[in-house]
Amino acid sequence: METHLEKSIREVMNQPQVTGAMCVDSKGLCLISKGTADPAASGYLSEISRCANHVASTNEDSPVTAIEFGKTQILIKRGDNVTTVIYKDKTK
Amino acid sequence: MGNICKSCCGGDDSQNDSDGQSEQTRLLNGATRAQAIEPQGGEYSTRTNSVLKKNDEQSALNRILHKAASNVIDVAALDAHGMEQHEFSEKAKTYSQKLQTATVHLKNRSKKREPLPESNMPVERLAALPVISAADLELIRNLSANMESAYQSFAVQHGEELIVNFAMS
Amino acid sequence: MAEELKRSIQEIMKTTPGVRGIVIADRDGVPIIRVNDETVPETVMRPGFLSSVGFATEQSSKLGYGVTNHIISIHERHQIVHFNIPPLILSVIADTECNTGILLTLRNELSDITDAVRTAIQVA
Repeated sequence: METHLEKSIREVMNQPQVTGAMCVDSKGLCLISKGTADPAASGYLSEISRCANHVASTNEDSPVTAIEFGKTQILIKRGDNVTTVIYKDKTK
Repeated sequence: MGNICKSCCGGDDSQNDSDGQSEQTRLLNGATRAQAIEPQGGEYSTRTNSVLKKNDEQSALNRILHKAASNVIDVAALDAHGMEQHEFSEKAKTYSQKLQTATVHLKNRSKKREPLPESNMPVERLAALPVISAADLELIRNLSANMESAYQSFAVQHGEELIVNFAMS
Repeated sequence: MAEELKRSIQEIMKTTPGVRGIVIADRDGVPIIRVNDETVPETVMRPGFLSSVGFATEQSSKLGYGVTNHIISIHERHQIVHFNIPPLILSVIADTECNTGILLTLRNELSDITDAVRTAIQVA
């Protein structure tokens, strides 16, 4: 059931600077996570992107939210059904 | 019990059933062999020994039965455990008394949620940082699109039957 | 101590929007501590319902996947998450729209309180 999901996530994990990735459903439950992505954070990350979508959303596309740390960055995008999260290490 | 029999009587593994009832098989084999090496102490001691063996067998079989019963999912047993109304109130009272008299101190909760770490960067530099590179935007947009289509393709793949009927004959 | 515990629970409920009630009960469904607002139906707080949760937790541990961690039930007007914290059952009642992933983090948030309750009731 999740082979397509696994394949997409594996592709992204091979990208430079990517240390983790996660897919979260509409209820904030983690569907899949790899690398440094913390499944326990799935609820909060999906909620942050939900609030961001309320703040700024056009008809074409939902916004990408970035949480910046000193050396790492978390990118979040909320789609119609799932929220996608990518963890990046900027120093690599 | 099965293991004890195995160590003192030497369990015969050649008769292991394929349905996994090895515990029972070993037990009966052990009991049979124990009878063969019984000490010859007259009629009385022989009868006592066989009575003891029967009790051991019985209690061992009961143990196996109880273990099997505890592994069975029995939804109908929900009503069987019903407690009386007065038992509930008694228990509730006991708990509230115990809570009143207890003096456990809660750890300081405010420490649990750590505040954001201090950033050494000056604010102007922070604000001037590039937000998200175009490449990153592309990356997350692509992954998001892939995830959405993967989600659409979710379907349960039916494997083996989860519920089977026991043959009652 | 009960008042102190209720106050701590209320603080946590305030910081988690959508949470309507929290009940800590034993395996038989006897409530030990409960904090709720008026939107929570009374039936959810009663031993009749809570005992079935303890039972479901016990039976679902026999499915071959190990001990039950939690049970999530999403209904039309509420959602409930029951956490298995032997010998206690912690139940969190929240709005249906509430983020379930965030509700699951409450197990950790409430761990001080559930530890304190467990210690208190296990005293002879």
